[in-house]
Amino acid sequence: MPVSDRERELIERLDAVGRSGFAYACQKLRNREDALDAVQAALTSVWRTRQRLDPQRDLRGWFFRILRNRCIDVVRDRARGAHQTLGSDPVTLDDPADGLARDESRDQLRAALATLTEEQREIVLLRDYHGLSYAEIGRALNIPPGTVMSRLSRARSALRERFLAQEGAS
Amino acid sequence: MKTCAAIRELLSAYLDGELPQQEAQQVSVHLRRCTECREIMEDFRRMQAQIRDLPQAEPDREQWGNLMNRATMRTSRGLGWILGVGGVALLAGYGLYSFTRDPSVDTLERIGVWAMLGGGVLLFATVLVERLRAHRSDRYKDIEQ
Repeated sequence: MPVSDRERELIERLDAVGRSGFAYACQKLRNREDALDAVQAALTSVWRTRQRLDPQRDLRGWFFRILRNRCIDVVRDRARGAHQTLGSDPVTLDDPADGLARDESRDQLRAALATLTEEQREIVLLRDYHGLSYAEIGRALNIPPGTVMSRLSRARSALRERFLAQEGAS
Repeated sequence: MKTCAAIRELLSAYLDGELPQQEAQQVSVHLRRCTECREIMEDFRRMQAQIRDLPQAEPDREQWGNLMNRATMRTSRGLGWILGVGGVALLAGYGLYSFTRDPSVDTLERIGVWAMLGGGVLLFATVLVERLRAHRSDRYKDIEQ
């Protein structure tokens, strides 16, 4: 079956958003295999709705919302013991085993991020690491844009406080 | 004129270019004359730049290619199911038609077959009702379908 231009463009966008989603899922689930499964499920869901989807407007917000729900399901299954607790290959933003050159300031930032609540860390990373707009974050977290703005502002203030404390301590 | 406290609540959105023009202008003017708020803004910029530079977990190349192919399959499994189930239903219907038209089948056999058929339909109907109820209470249905 031939691929239309629109579908080809959508696949390219899904490839990019899926890679970003993989990093998000790794951070949430701390397991590469679980992250891949969650990303595939989310990509499949988005692909099935491609006729109704406006890729310019909806794609990343919807994708992250579905992916986030998948991750929540996996974490819930783990709590019930229906899923392995942790895989053998945890990959997280705050994991020092990323194999790259160490940087003191980056370490302090990671440490500061690790002290935030899950809610605060998530919104900061969705914005600054994954590059979602406020509208996309609102769609991903199912909250209004005004709440995105205030929650992100509080999260950044908290991060700054912890980051400066880390810098002062070194 | 907004106070420092009011301006600081807007700094994060100002950083992201998400403020309406008038508020962005107010923040901009305030930052030119307020050292403390300017320092906060600089810290926000520095943190944002560093977060952007954090390494990103990358999927294995081959695994990723397979995953993308599976996720974007253009012939849906739904079509496969429709063809498979449709074929079985067609054959079963034809078999049933031939069976009921066959004068050599006695009454007891007829009753047995119709009872099996009725039981199957009843089971299918109960499963269908359960699925419909589950679908109605599924909070993710709007975004996962």
